[in-house]
Amino acid sequence: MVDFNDSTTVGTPAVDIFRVEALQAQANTFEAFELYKKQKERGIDPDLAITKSRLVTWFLIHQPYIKRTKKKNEYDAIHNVLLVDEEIEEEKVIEILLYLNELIDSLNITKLDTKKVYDKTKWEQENKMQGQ
Amino acid sequence: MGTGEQNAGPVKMGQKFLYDHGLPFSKKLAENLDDQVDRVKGKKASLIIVDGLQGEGKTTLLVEIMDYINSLHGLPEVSLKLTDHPQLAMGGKQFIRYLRICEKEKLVIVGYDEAGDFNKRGAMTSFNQMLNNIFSKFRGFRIIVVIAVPNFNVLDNWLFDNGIPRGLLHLHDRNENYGNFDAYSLVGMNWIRYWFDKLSKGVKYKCYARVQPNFRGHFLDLSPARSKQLDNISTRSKKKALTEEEIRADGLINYSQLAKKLHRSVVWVRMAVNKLKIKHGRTIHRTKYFDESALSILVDHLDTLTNRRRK
Repeated sequence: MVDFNDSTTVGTPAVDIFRVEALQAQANTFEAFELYKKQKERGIDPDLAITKSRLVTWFLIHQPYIKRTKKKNEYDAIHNVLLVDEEIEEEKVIEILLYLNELIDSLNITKLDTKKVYDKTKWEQENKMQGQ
Repeated sequence: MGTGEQNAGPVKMGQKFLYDHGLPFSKKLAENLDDQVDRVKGKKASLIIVDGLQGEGKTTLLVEIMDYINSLHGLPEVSLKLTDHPQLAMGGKQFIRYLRICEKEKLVIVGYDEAGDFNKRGAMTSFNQMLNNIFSKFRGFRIIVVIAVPNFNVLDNWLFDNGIPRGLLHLHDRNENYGNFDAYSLVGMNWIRYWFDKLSKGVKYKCYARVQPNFRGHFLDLSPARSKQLDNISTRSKKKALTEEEIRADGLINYSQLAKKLHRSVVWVRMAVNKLKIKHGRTIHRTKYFDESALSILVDHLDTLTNRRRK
C-alpha cells in the first residue's frame, strides 16, 4: 500500500502506484461481495454497506479517467448510485462491479491475454508477427 | 491432361492424382500459396523453397505448385514440352531468361530446378548472386519464384536478412503412393539455419527435426503423361550438365574459349585453326571441341606472328 514515509513508494512512478491501488481496490471489493453472497446463501440478512464503500474507493481511483473519457450519462449513473443515493440494490452493485472490472481490463491492468493470437499454420501470419 | 497420353506410363490400380478437394497436395498448402499471391500483388518479393534429397519429388511438387498458382489466375497448366517450358527453368541461365519471358507474357510464377547445376564448381556463388540480383532489382515483376534445391541452407544470408524466402517445404520419406512435406515459415527457416550451423558435421540434417513445422502435408504424383514429360525435361537438362562436366574433365575447349584465352577474336581463331590444320577432338551438340595441345599450337603461332612483326 501507499506509504509516503517509505522510500519505495516515493521512488515509484505514480502510474504504477495507481495500478497497484486499483488491483487492491478490486480485490477488496471482491472480498466484500463474496462475504455478502455467503451471508445471503446462509440465510443471514446480508448488508451491502461494505461492498458499496469498497466500490466507492475503487470508483474514485478511476473517476477522473471515467469522467474524461466516457459519456456524461454513463459517468453520472455510477456517480449517483455510489455517491448520491443512500440505498443501493444488489443489481446495481453487480452492474458497477462488472463495469469497473472490464474497465481495468481495457486499461491492461488485469488483462491476461496480451499475447497476440495468430494462425500458426499460415506462413505469412507468423512471418508478420515476428516482424519479417 | 495435355499431350502425350499415349506414351504415359502404367497407372497403378487405385492410383490417385488429386485429393477429394480437387488438388494434388494438402489444402493447407493451397491456403498458404493464396497468401503469397496476395503478397506479390502488393509488389513484395516472394520466394518459396522446396528442398529435399534426391527422389523425394521436388520437381513434381514444384510443378504442382505452379499449376495451382496458374489456375488462380485463369492460366493453363505449366507447359512441360521439351522445347517450350518457359515457367520451369532447369539451371541458372534458363532461369533469368524465363523470368523475362514470364514478365513479358504476364505469367505469375516461375520455377527453378537446380537439375545438377550445383555440381559445378562455384555454382552456389553464382546462383546466390543471381538470386540476390533478381530480388534486389526485379521485385516489381510481381512473379512468385519457387526453387527446388537439395538443401536450402546453401542459400545466401542476404536473402534471409531481407525476408525474401517466405516458406520452405521440406520433402521427406516419399513412398510409392504419395510424398510428404513439412512446411516452415521464414521464422522456422531461420531456426533451422541456426541449428544447421550449430550441429556437428555428421548430424547436420537433424536441424529440421529441431524445429516444429507450421504444418505438415502430402502430395500426389503428377499424371503419368505429365510425369513422363517432366522426366524428359529433367533428364535432358541433367544430361546437358553431365556433358558439360565431361567436357571440363577432358580439358576440351571450343572456339570462343580459345579466343578468350588468346585475347583474339573467334574469327581470328577459326582462320588460324584452318591455316594450321588443327584437328578438333570431338563435336558435341554441333560445337567443335579441341584438346589442350591446340591451345599451345595457337600460342606458338601467335608468338611467331608477333616476332615477325617486331622484326
